[in-house]
Amino acid sequence: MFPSITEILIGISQLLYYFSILLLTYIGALLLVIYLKYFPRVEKKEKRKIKELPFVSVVVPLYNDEEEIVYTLSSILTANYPKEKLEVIVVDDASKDKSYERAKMFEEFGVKVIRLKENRGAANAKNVGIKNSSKKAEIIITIDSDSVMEENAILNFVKLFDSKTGAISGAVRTKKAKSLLEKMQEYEYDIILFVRKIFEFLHSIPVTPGGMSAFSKKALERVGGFEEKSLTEDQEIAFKMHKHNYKVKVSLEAVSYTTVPKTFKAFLNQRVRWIRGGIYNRILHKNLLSLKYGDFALLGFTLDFVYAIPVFSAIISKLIELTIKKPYFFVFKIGLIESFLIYVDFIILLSVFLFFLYFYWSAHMINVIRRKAKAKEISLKELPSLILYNILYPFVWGIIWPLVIIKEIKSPGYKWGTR
Amino acid sequence: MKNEEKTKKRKAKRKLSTGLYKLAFFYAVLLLIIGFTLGVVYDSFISKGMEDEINKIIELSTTSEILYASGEEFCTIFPRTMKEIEEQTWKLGVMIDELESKNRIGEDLKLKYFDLQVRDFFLVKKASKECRINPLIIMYFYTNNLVECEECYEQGFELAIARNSLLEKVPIKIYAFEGKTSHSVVNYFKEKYNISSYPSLVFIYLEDGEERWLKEEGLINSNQILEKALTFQNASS
Repeated sequence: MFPSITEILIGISQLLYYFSILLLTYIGALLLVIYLKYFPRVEKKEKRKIKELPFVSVVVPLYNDEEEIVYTLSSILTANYPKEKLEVIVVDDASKDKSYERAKMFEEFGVKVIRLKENRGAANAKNVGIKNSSKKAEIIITIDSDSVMEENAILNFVKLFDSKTGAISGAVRTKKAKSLLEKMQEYEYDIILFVRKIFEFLHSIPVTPGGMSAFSKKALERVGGFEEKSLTEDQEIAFKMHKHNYKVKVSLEAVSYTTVPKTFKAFLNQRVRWIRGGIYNRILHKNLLSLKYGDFALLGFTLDFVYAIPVFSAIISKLIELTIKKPYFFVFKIGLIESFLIYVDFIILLSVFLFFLYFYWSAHMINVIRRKAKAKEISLKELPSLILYNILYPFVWGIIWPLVIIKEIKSPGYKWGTR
Repeated sequence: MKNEEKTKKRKAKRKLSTGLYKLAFFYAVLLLIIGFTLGVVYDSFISKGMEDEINKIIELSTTSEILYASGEEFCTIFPRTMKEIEEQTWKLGVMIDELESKNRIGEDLKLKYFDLQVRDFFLVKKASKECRINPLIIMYFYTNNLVECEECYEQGFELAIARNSLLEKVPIKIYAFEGKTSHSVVNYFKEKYNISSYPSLVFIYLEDGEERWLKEEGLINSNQILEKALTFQNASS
């Protein structure tokens, strides 16, 4: 006897639900173990390792950012770093607005501005910048044209370089949040930053963000520069660094502030692009999924990517259940308390328990990052938005995956500047 | 040679921190045990609450039986009590059904609930004759095994919709029994009404002062239930 569609659906729903709960519990436990082991090291001051300051080239890829580029360049030019050891290269990727003209205004302060005839994406712009950097340059810093760096950012980057270091991810934080969506992203950026820092101790950093990162020029040349076909070249370059056995680090003291999407649509577009880029990079570097790359194979390559899948599975499972099972409260008229009593089960209790654990945990991570960036710690006023973040964000990630699938089917390809 | 040394020098050490993954597994199991223990405690708390509720309804039912035996004011008080009992047993029934489908309550509680329903069924039948209340009685036989009864969930839902409409119009009593139970009286009902498949509904009503019943096998929707219920009710009155 063949099972009916209802049975199959209930079976799938149950399977997805238990799969996601087990996976989420394990991921949560793993992050907790790593956190407990390494968090005291996160707060330590980053020690200086160099004797002489190297020559640094800051490369700014630019596309349609006439509003922000002025602030970006001003922040670099006022950075606390010897001027004779610093050059700034702006590569305008055929902007349609006045970005190029705005950048040109900075030529009198020594900024080199290159204009490309054809728009070919951020990776190409960065590669052009690297090719045009001074022969003296040992360190390349890339920073998005919508980000500004703190005055000691360059110094804090260079002091972490040694012969084994290929790249250093900067402490990319968000500019002052005005809306709830921006606030959510502020928390997310800080938490991710903290997690990346503890992943550094396990050589598992999966990305050197475009918001600001530093690279050894030699390492960049050895790995062949940025991949121009990737939607997330900032992740692909980190993968290549791991492949070539370079260390990838995080500096919590090299701080930059970036502009985040202001509308939900733009936010979703950005995240869809990140995931699609992630898929591409993982296919391109599938051989990194080997135990010879140690923890990176499991953490940076796999965990960083799959943690949204169980959330997505749980949501799908509940949607299936809702289509099959009707709401008790409305039809069976058994009252709110009774409905609540029967819907709450041990998995929901466990989720509530984990929620409180994660809530405390996320607040701690954000505070550590804020202390490092000399920003104000979480106040009581912020608690509602932090609670909201912890409740809403998993669902947001849960709906991004289906969007990625739809997008891949409907219209492959992308344009940059999707924030 | 010099190049090889240089490459070695810049190589980062890659290793798998097996201990961390094992410890995480231990923590995950611990978390699941904590969650499971919380769940067991919570479920026993719900079971206890429902058992207390069943006992309260049984007390109410016993009081009605005493009143019936003494013959005093029974017909004045019972219609009100009957409505109260109906509402309470319905709620309990829905909860027991849902919790049972997830294996969250024991067999004892379900049997106790069937006891309550059986007791109420006989009391209502006595009251029907004595007080001429003539409620429409619907017996619903189901099973929680989806393979055996694909339509049982749907039938419960249709019954709930019909009940919501009927409550305002006619006095109604719905008794839901799990077909695979070991409860002796429920098994007697199954024999009496010839229940062999699920879902099955049995409408019990009075016609010309005689008790009659009609069995419906397979899924019937709320409109069909309503139609039959109103027809039987007219016949009774």
